[in-house]
Formats: sequence, structure tokens, C-alpha cells
Amino acid sequence: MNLRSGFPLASFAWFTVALAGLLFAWGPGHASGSDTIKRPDTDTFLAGVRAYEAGDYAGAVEAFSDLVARGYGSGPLYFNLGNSHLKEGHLGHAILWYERSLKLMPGNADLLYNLDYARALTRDEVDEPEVPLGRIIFFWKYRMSRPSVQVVSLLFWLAFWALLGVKRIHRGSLLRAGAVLTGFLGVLFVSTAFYNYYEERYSRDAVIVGEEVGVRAGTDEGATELFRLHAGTFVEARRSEAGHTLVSFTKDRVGWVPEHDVELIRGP
Amino acid sequence: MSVMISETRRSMKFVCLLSVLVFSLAGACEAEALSVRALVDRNRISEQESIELRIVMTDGEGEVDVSVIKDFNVAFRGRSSSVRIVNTQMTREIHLLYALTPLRSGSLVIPSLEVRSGNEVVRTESVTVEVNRQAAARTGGGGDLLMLASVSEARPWVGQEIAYTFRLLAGVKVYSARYQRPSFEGFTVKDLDGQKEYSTVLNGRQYSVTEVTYLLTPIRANSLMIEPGVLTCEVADVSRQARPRSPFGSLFDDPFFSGRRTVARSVRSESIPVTAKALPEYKGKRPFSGLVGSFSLAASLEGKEVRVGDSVTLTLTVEGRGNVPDAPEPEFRRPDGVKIYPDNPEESVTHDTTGTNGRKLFRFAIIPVEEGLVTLGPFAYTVFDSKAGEYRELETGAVTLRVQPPLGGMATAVPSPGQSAGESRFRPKRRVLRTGQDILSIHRDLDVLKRSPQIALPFFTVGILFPPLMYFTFLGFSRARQKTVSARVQMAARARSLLNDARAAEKSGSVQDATSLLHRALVSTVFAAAGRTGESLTYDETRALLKDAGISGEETGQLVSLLMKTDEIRYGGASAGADLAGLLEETSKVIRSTTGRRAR
Repeated sequence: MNLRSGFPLASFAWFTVALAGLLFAWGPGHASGSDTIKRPDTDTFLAGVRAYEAGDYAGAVEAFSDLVARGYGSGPLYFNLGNSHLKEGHLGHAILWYERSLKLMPGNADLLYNLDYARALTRDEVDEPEVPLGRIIFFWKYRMSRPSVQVVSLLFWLAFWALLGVKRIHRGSLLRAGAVLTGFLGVLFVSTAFYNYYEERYSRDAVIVGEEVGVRAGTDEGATELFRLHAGTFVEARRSEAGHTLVSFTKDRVGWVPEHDVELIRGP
Repeated sequence: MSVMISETRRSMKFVCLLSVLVFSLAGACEAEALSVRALVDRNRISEQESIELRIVMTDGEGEVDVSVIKDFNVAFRGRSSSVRIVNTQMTREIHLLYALTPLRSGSLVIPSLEVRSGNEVVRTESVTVEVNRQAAARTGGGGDLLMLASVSEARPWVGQEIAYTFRLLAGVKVYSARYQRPSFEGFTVKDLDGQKEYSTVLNGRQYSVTEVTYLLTPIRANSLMIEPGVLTCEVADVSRQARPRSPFGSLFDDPFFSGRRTVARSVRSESIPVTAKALPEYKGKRPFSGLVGSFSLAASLEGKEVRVGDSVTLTLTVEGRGNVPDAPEPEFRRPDGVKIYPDNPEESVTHDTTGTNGRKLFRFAIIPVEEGLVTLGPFAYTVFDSKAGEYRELETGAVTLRVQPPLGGMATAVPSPGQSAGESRFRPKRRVLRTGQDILSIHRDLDVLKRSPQIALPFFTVGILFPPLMYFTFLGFSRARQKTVSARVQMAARARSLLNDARAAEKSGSVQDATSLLHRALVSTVFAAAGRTGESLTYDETRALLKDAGISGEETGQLVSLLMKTDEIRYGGASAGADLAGLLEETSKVIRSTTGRRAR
């Protein structure tokens, strides 16, 4: 008989990390499906690249759009689609796809350059320039891609609980400081990750894709035209009915546009 | 009888009160038709003054159409409501206030105004107001507020900037001022940031002056009229001022805090005629640049010598007063033997009451493709000098560039040892110019088709819930186990302590005490083995506890046998002598084996 008073928290940290590793290995795979690329899809992609290089931008748009319709979704693919649209003269669609790409690779220098270029071509001046205060305070949200935020938040979260476990056996100010720091960062990044999920599902940010769109007071053709918006302008799409979408450009510029002239950045 | 009369009176009083209450409520609930009135504070004013129009709607509220008022400039000032109860009749009134500024002198009419409430339409009576050209004397100081407007040039050329300045001269304190600027039809308008504030004395009276300036540019040749600007505000009503100035400074000087009585005032400036003159017909050979004002042109080359394939920057600077930002790229002869790439123009302008001042730089990257002498220019620009009233040719001389042959195989700029300063291959740093405009190209490798590894929300949620769940599960287990371990440790320590006491008692010859302590030490050992605490046990309980604790049958028998022996010595009255010493030794061994080394 042994009365040794062993405490299992020492192994808790290792156990947690091991299981979390399994979760990581399993989760992303299940989230995005298999990464197997089918031969016809690679052919379509290469056809799109060839079309772009040959100056057949309509063909490139068709090929890359086809891949998106087949379920492929990555920052570079959206970037290619944005480029093809821009070369084809579809400014609104170009900015739309660049914005979608930006969600997946926010720090990509090529993307930011092309997006700036495209934005410079838009015609509508925003009355109230965007206040970058939110971007300064929550800088990590705008500098890190959504997958990165998810991984980092899980790591900080795990580290926090593991340190709490170890702290029960070995007391020390360093452990305490580590637990406080990882706890703070964990909560920050977990909140950001959940906000990103929320935004991905419910954001109403949209882009005008029609070349020039009359914004009317109602959904019928006879409704008074209140103002006009041009391709690439950002709006908030509030709701849709009768084939039209109620958009808000600024607080005092609100009206209805045909549904096909505006697209949500998060996708349909 | 008197009791009956008293009760009857009491009942009568109650009925009367009830009747009053019911009639009051009925009166209050009675639906009255909407009625409206139009009231003005004065019927006779000067052209520089304004009147207050008050639309009073009784027993209802509707939309007032003031668009029919053509002789006045109309500014909405606010809305208020009040409830009055007169003779059990409740009346609710809505007041809409407008400040009306006359647009001309004469007998002006505020026409009957339509007020629409649902399907019901009611009208006000029309009101006539006499407007005189001369300023009317008015109690409270008709000259308290003056609004003056002026332009820097009454006969500008089309495209020439002029400054429109309005000054508000206030001899009294002004609250809630709102300025409605003229529409400036026929001009493009640039607001100058900020406003000037200073004091001045006019006709022996001190005024605080607020000055705002706009830069106007006539778009086409025409006789234009700048309409009056209108300022509406509130000023202290000197005649009804209730209390002295607040000692708490400007915050509590606000009528909202101070409770000071104020009156609404409105002043307007004079209309100003401006004649925009057409530019004279241009007969020059070069195209007209469109610049109107006073300008100069300069050309500079970054260096006079360059090697084939290297670039050098040519800068053309247009500088002066006028519409500098509109300056187009100067045209010049482009010689053979060089490639020329224009960069984005760079502007540096300021706006003040004299107009737009500054310069616009046009940079070109010049890349020679063959050696020899290259002449760039001359550079010329046609502008319209608004002061002289004529076109001017701005010219600079040509610049010459000597093109040297390329450095063959001398790509590195590091001079070799012993190389003289004149042969140095270090080159001065130059501004990098943009030579084209395009987006960066697409991604071509197949990694593009790899999906971004996002974690689905359910998996992410599980990942977040998992660590705290694990932590608290293990914490629960460990606490339960800690409790058991504590009982074991406690009882084992007690067994050892009692054994030591028993030894001491045996040495002192106290057999009864020694056996009693020995018995308790054995019982504590049993409890320690079971992970529980307690004081006494029967033999059967001992066997059951040890069995539950997983103690072998042999060990259990040994413990029970020792318990029996101690009981025999304690209660049997047997001589303990050598038996007690043996018993102590045997008990010590059993305690050691049962509670383990850690418990020792």
C-alpha cells in the first residue's frame, strides 16, 4: 500500500498541449475540407493565368470565378480575380475581390499596392474620411489574417490554462506574471477571433459594382433619384427587398439600388 | 335627523366633486378641430432687419408649407409646445418659430400658409409687413448688429480669383449664431479655413468683428449678383434683462444656463454686383494654359552630364498667384536619343485673402539612349496676366545635356585602391521617378488553389472550452484525492505518536496505560490504511475497513490478532512483563509496513 500524495496537474499541461495539437491537426482540415487539388481545377487555373498573360482578361475572370464557384477560396486566388476584373475595366468587382482577399492576407504588400491603385480610380469622394482610431487601437485585427488570429488566440489560451495548472504545484512570481500576460493576450485574441467570426457571418459592408448607379427613394423605377454612386464605392447594405438593396453611403445619403449593382464583401 | 342631513350634504359634496372630475376629463378628451394662427413680432422694419413669424397650432399639429413665402428669406428657429387648462378646458398649443429676412423693400406680404394634418387642411391669415430702405430706430439698438460684405475685385476676369469677405460687427453679446452664406451662383467657391476675430470702433462705438473670407472664381462672363448673406442669432434683451452678469464666466453666460432673456435677431449683408469679364480673344501660336493670375516658369536639370542608360531629372516649375493647381503639363520639344517619362506632378499651394499662391512641379525622368549632346526645350507657357489684362508668354531657355558612353563592365561603384577622386565611380543619389502606372501581376503557382486554413467556428469553440474544462476536471480529482491523502497522513502520524507514548509508559511500568495507548495506535493504523479518520473499532469493523482498503488477509489477521492481544492484557489482568515488550515491537513493525515509509 502506498500513501504517496501525487498530484496530476503536473501532467495536465502536457496532456492539454498534446490534445490541443490533435485538435489543431484535425480542426483546420475539417474546416476547409480536403486540400486535394483536382486535375481539372489545375487546368482551369493555368488557363486563367494564360488568359491573363495573353491580355484576355474576360477569360481570366471566367476561369478564376469558376474556381471560386467550385469552392476554392484563398487570398491569392481572390487577388488574381481582382486583378483580372481591374484589367477588364470592372472597377467595382476588382475592389470587391481585393477586399475579400484582404480579409485572408491583410499584410500582403502586392495586394495593398493594387488595392490603393484601384481605390485611386474610384470617383465618389467620401464626405467624412474614415477615422483610423479603431485601426490604431485594434491594430492586430487589421494586421493579422483571420486564420492567424484563430491560431494565436488558441495558443495564448492554452498557455494561460497550462500555466495556471503548473502554478498549482510550483509557486513563483514568474509563473504568475506569465499566467497574467497569457491570460490577457488570450482574452484579447479570443475576443478578436469571435468578432471575426461574427463579422464573417453578419457584416453588411458592401461595394458598388455597377459602373454608375442611381440611388432612389424607393424600389420602383419611378422613385425619385436621390444621388448617384459609382463603381468601387463602399456602402453599408442594410436590407434587401423586391430585387433592391437599401444602401447607406453616409448618414444622410441612404437609398435603394438594384440588387445586382451592390455586393457584400463577406459574400452572399 | 341632523345626522341624516349631514350625510346627505356629504353625499352631495361627493357627487359634485365627481361631476367636476368627469366633466374635466370629458373636456380634456373632447376632440377639437385644428386651428392655426400666424403672428409676427413687428409689422414695420428696415431692410436690414428681420421679423419673427410664429405659427401657433391649437388642438393639433400639422405640416406648415412656408415655400409660398417669396418676399422673405425664411429660416426655421425652433418649436415649442404648451398646455393650458382654462375653465376645465385643456388646450394644447404648438408654436413654430421662423426668422424672416426681407429680400426687398416695400409692402411685403406673408401669404396665407397651408397647414396640413392628415386629410385636414387649414390656413393662416395673410400678414403684411412694411419694409423701409432706411434703418428704423428700434429700442435696444438697431445698430447693435451690422453685417458688411465686400469683394476684392468687382470686375474680375473669368477664371480670376477674388476674395469675398463678410464681417459681422456686434455691439452686443451674440448667442447661437448661424450664418447662411450666399449661394455664389456663377462662381466656384473655396472656403478659407478659420475666421478672424478682432475689435474695431465705428462712429465712437466699439464692436467685436468676426470676419470670414471665401475665394470666388467666376465661371463665365456675365453680370453676376452675390446675394445677401443672412445671419440669425440671439442677443440679450436689454429691456427685459432680469439679473446681473453671472460671476461664473462664459459657460454660465450662455442663455441656457443663465436664464437670461434673449431675442432672436437676423441681419443680412448687402447684395454685391460683380461683373465677370470675358478673356480677350487669344491669337497666339501656342495653346493657352488656362492659368489666370500672375505666374513664372522655371526649368532645371539635375545634372549636365549623364551616361547612356542612366536617368537624370528635368524639373519644370510653375509658380505664382492664381489657379496654380490647374496648370497643365508644359509642352516642349522632345529630342531624339532620349526617353522621357513624366512623374506625377507635385503641388504646394496655400490659400489666403489674396488668393491661391504656390507652385506646381512637373518632373520628368530623362534616359538617354545614345551618346552626344541633347537639347531639351525651350519651355514656354501661355498664361493670362489678370493685372495687365493680357496674355503673356512665359519662356525659359533650353537646357543641354551631355551624354557620355555607358560604363562597360563597371557595374560596381566601389573605387579600386589608388583610384583618384576624379575617377570615383560613386554617383550622387537621385530621386526615383515613376516611369509607368500599372498594378502588380497575378500569382501564378498552384499554391493559389490551397484553401486558407481557417478553423471552423464549432472546432474553435471546442478548442476554447477544452483547456478550462480539463483544468477544472483535474482540479476536482486532485482535491478529492488530497482529502483522502490527508486522512491517511494524519492517522499514520497519530499511530506513530501513540506507539512512542506506549513505549514510554511501558518503561515507566504503567502496563494499563501502555496497552491502552498501544490499542489506540493500532486503531489509528487501521484508519490510516483505510484513508479515514476515527477513534474506535470492533474487530469486524476492522476486518471490513481493511478489506475495503485492499489490505491483504495476512496483514489484516495480524492487525486483528494484535488488537485482541492488547485487549487481553488490558482487560484479562494477565501479567504483561515480557509479552508487552514483544507486543510493542510487533506493533511497530505492523505500523511501518501498513503506513509506509512516507508516513513514518
